[in-house]
Amino acid sequence: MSDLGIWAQPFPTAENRLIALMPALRALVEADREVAQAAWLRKVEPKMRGGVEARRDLAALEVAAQLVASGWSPPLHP
Amino acid sequence: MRSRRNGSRYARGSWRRKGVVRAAFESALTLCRMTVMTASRHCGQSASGFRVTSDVISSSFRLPWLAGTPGKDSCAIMSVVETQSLFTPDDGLLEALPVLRQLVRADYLLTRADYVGDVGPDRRRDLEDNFMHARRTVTARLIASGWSAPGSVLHPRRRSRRVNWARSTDE
Repeated sequence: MSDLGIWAQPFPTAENRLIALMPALRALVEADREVAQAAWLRKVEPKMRGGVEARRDLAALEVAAQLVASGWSPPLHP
Repeated sequence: MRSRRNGSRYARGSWRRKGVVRAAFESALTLCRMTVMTASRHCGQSASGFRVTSDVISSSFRLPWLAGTPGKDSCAIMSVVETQSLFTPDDGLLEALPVLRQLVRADYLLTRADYVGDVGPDRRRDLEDNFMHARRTVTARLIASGWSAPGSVLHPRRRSRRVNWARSTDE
């Protein structure tokens, strides 16, 4: 947490709302584990590797959607 | 007759409302950008990818016309959005994966302890502290990546980004 500097402040509302996101977060972590496993084993065809990466990105998107729905605002990109 | 004081109070409220509406619109727009970027990246690989993605948008923002959009139509939507340059590079969630893993692990240990029921009160307290610490770390990570927590003011990095962007446009 030290590398997060001044942002490591308590935000009780935000922290409590993360509990509702646990299923989506679990799915994202699981999808990321599959990506890492596919890369490590090197047994997966490139096409299939793209598939697991796509699943991970969609899981990340689902988390983003739920974060926004629970009151978070995403980063702005000019 | 409305007093001057009431008028100014109304004006302040109006500005606040405008700010809320603008923030909500920016959130929706940014999420749509992220969604379209993800969908376009995987369009060639997975036919169902965009359907899933459009369903997420549709359910989040009540846009029924996007739900279950079949392949051709979704590509048409994407090309429209693409021509308007509505793309964004990153949402910071993949950067946050290490701390998200810690949070999922802490949640798993706490849930298992409650389910099995073979841990003492001290150990239970440790697991709970661990879970709360992980939640705080994830919140801090998201804020450091540019996300704004519910009910908080705009992130300074977001403000400075806006200022920099305006300056670069002026120059």
